[in-house]
Amino acid sequence: MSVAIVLGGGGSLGAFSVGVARWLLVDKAIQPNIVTGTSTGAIAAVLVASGEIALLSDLYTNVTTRDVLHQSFLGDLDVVIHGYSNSVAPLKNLIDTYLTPQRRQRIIDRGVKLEIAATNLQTGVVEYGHATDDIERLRKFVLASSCQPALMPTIEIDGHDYLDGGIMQMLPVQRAVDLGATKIYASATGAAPSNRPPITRRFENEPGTYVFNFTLRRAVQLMTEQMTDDTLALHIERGIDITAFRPASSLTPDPLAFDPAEMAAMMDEGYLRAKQILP
Amino acid sequence: MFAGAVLLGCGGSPELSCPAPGLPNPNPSYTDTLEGLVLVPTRANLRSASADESAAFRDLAAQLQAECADSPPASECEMAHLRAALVALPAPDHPALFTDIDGALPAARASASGDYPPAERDCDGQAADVCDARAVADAFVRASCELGGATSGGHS
Repeated sequence: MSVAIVLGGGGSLGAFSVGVARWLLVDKAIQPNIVTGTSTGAIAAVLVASGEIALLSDLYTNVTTRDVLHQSFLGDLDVVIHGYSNSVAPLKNLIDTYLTPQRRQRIIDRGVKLEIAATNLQTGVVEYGHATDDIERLRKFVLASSCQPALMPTIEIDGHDYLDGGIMQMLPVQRAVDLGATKIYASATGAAPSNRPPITRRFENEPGTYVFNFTLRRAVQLMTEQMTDDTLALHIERGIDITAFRPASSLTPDPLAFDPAEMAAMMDEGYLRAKQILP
Repeated sequence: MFAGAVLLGCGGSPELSCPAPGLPNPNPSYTDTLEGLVLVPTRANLRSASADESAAFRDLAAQLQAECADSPPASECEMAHLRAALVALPAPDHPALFTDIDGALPAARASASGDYPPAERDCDGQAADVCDARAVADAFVRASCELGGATSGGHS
């Protein structure tokens, strides 16, 4: 049997999936042959593939926003000046620190297929970085996989521009199927449709960068949740053996705010949710 | 694992020395790993604890921290003693609370042991049960510290 763990995007909400992975890898002693990840799930996928779940959980409960993103004194004006609002230099440094050549080799030695999803803006298809890639290329894929349009820059790889894999593959289940997975454990950070109540916030036509900070984020959230719903429904309909883990209700923290206490709470919820779904 | 510490006291109960937060070592040791593996289920289960149950756990964590800090550690710094003390804690509101935390320990130890052959463990020549008890005690301390004043949440 070929077992895959699939980790979806969601910024800081990815802590939920880390808790899920903690339950699967340690308490259930599941050893995946394939690990696919998008966005925050791409970062987590590296340490799931290397089997270092303790390091992963420590990372996700100690990282802060300034370890991931940098916003200059210009604030939202950076969207006008640079084309994006946040520098990802801290995130690149974080990836370089934890995605070492030794860790990449460890993944290869364990025989795990690591698949990192990023969207190629020229070809319009999702492409995947692998553990067998050159270390710098793999690092670029992990970084690109995490970069949301407008909020973060595009990442150049082999002369093409890449962004968040979540633009097209919020939950990269299909990649696991394509690689021959016969059992899939998929973790998404959005609640199932029946567990997503309406919100009360209004989205007015305000001037300035309001649209980037609120309307665009809400739109991205709705699109990615729908993509996740469709992905899971499609594969279940096709008879794929898939166990999905989703929060019992919508996680409320801002996905681009990395608060250790909030992330610890989401991680713990993921752990208990996985324990409930797959006792 | 973390540099520095702060003291966290609470109305006459033993004081915990809480680790300062910071990004983890990219190359964790065996005890770092075991501590991290124990932390998540411990903290997750403790979130449902009542104030009295949390206080009882915090007292135990502080006691274990003191017992394991000595060099060599006190005889009570040992897995069998630690587990017996854990499951003996009063849990009138959530009877399975401490047995659930205890129940997660064997898998965590098995996982960490599988990743680090005995020769690669940072146990300073101590017996496995003592070495593991120190790591588990550190995880209990961190769980108590991280939940100190925290409220459960994350949901709308």
